[in-house]
Amino acid sequence: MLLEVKDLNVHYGKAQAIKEISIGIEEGKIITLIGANGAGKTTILRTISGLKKPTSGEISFEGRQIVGLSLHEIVKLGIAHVPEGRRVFATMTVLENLKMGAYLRKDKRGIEEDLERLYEHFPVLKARRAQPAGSLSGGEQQMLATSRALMTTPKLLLMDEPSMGLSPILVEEVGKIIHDINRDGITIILVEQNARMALNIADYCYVLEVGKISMEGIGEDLVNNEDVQKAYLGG
Amino acid sequence: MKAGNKIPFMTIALILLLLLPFIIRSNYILHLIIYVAIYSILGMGFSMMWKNRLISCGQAGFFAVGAYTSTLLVTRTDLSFWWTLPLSGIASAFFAFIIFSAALRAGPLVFFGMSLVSSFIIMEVLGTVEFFGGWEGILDIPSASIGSFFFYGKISNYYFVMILLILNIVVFYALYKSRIGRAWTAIGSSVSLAEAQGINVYRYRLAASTIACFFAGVVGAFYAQYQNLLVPNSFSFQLSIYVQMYALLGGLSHFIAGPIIGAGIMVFLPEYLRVANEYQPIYFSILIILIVIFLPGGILSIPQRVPWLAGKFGKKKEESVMVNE
Amino acid sequence: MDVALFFQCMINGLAIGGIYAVVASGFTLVLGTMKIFNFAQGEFYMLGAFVTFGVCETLHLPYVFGIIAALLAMALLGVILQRVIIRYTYGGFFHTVLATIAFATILRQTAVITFGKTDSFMYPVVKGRLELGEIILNNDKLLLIFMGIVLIILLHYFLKLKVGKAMRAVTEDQEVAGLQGINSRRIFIFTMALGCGLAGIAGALIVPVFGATADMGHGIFVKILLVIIIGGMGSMPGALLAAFIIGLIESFGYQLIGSYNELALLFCMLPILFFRPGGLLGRPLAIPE
Ligand SMILES: Nc1ncnc2c1ncn2[C@@H]1O[C@H](COP(=O)(O)OP(=O)(O)OP(=O)(O)O)[C@@H](O)[C@H]1O
Ligand SMILES: [Mg+2]
Repeated sequence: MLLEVKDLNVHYGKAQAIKEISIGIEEGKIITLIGANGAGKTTILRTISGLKKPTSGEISFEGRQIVGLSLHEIVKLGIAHVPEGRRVFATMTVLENLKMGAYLRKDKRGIEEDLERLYEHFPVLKARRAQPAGSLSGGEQQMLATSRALMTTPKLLLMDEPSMGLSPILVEEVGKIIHDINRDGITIILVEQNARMALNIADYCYVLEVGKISMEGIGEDLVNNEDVQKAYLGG
Repeated sequence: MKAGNKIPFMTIALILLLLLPFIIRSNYILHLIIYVAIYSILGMGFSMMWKNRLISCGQAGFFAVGAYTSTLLVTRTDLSFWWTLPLSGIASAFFAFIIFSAALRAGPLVFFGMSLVSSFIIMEVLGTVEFFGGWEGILDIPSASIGSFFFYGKISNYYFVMILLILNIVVFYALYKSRIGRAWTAIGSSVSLAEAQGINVYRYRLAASTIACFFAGVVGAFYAQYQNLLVPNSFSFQLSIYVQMYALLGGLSHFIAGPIIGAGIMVFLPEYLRVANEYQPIYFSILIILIVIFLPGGILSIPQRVPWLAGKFGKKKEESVMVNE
Repeated sequence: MDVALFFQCMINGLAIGGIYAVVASGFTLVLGTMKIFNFAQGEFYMLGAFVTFGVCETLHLPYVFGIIAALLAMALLGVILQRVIIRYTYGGFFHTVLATIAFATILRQTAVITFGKTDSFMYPVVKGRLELGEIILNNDKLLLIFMGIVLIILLHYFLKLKVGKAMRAVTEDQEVAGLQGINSRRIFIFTMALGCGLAGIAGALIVPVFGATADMGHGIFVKILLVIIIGGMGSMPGALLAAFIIGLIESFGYQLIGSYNELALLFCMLPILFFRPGGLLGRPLAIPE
């Protein structure tokens, strides 16, 4: 197991957002968390990346406890988080955004190489590298946010609703990108409202309902499950 | 407290207020109580703006506008003090309206800055422009009078200011209970939600600041005839800060009781501690820092969270790690 | 107004504008990055002046040491303010503001008690003046303008460095900056040191020209507020522009209309706010709730 979450509880003030959740992911796999609005998907990712402190529970990454570590330590260990709503640094240029992703890295050569590779993958980013990131379209911002996370050279990538607000064609594109990233050996936890796309590419799925896991299994099984079809796949 | 219990309580409080000068019989203490009332009115004005999540750093300035308006009218024209009393409020409210109608367009942060800047400039102008009497101030301001009765001693002024204070409380209370007050509450809890409900945030905020400054102006007129002299330096920024501090000490979420309790404590406390004047601002400041850190809800929040220390340190672990780090 | 007087006013305005610019840019850094409205900025400026005064007049060290001492001392004091007080104010924006106001009051009152209310003058660092026909320019004012501009340029390039960019990232989105591995605690300490240090340097620059008084901090703070309101809260270019504009308005205004100057300044800014609520070059910055 690359990452193992055990008996996690998370509260906002007195309200409990996550109740006794345990999930695990093996190296090189994609897992997905699906669930309705407010189910707690974002909260799980935020807790893993250290943005939110859990009330109790364990999170181990490569066998090491990471609860309580500060953000930059977690980034250094190799966990990157593409936050919900992309949140690019709007007034900074595309290139500056990407360089921020490489903030902790010292290998100038490696950074240049990674930039080139990303530019190859996303030619738009190269074309717009001197523009402020706020002027990019939604899809482009998603590419930027993802690339920025990749610049931290993560082993585990947390993606929070990458397809949010994108047109159906772009959603498919996002699916492909996630697949490509995964093929390069990066493990991925994907949170999606767009359950169909997520279920198709994921190796294993968890369905979340008000802070609890209500179902889990491999993608195909869940796609064929009646309850899931009713609730998340539109009948 | 239920509404039913409030009426006897209020009656007792009123009778007590009425009899107080005869119970106390110390001019000095009456003098301090008059100050508590003045500061309470200023503090309630601050709280009215705070209810809209506006921070005013300039109550002293609007207080000064009222005081000088009344004084100039009384000494330079034949107008009776009683006419100048509302006029002072109007002058102050007008001034606030002009400044804040511009500042509020830019949002609360600019409101905050502008309130401070304008009160500073008011003081500078009062001090430097000859017409207003200069830094030495204006002396020999006549006391208010009805017929041949002059509001000269402590007792008469005590009743005068108490009437103002009660009037202020009643008006503010009525406002808070009204539709306007509910809109203010909505704005205070979330500006974006209030906007979504169709509340014109700009207008309601402007109304709150104008009303608050009206009362600051009125009590300014009282202050001028009570002191019989005005010096620009007594309207310094320090006074505005003290006003904020009273509201904070009492409890920021208690818009009427908070400032009164805060002012009551802070006017009397130094008298009993006998601090050298020079050091007083330092001690006050240390106190502010302590309250801000350990009792952000003020004194009135103590009953709600008796184990407040535990609450404090519990909170530290629970909140998002981003706060203040 | 003749040519000589015009240039006199011009130089005075630019000199004082340069000082405003340095103090205001420090303030803006702290406000933008940490969302802290640092009321003590003016007092750091005042103490910077006294530190330089002490180093040069009492210890008889060269002026350069005075400047460095002011920078370091105020940077340290700023960090202390952040680490010891601000960090523990959980009540929100207003509580933090009050804490910095209280800190400012402590500094000012301590200065009043220690140094009294009279001015402390130190020897001029540069003497003489530049005469171009009728026009007479004092060298010390020219030096002030020069130093102001140098500092602004240095700051500009500094913000282009990696740490400067990290500061901008934290300014925009503290959480996401953290997700890139930026240690925001360190950035905060650094920002506070830089922001307050700039005020200290400004104080060090002003003391040979105008001397130091215990209440100079409050006066400049009000001007800094004007600067950032007109320039746009949190906008660095706006603050710089507005600083020079206000410096010039002040120096010409004083010459032309005397004591009504301040009132005129207040009414000048109302239309600006009305038609450009975000200030000349800024967007309205929200108070963090
Ligand atoms: N900052 C916060 N403060 C208080 N409560 C919060 C906060 N963030 C989330 N919550 C609550 O926690 C619960 C889980 O929220 P979360 O954002 O994790 O859901 P989600 O599954 O990501 O939803 P969505 O699909 O809308 O993104 C919700 O009930 C939400 O109201
Ligand atoms: Mg979410």
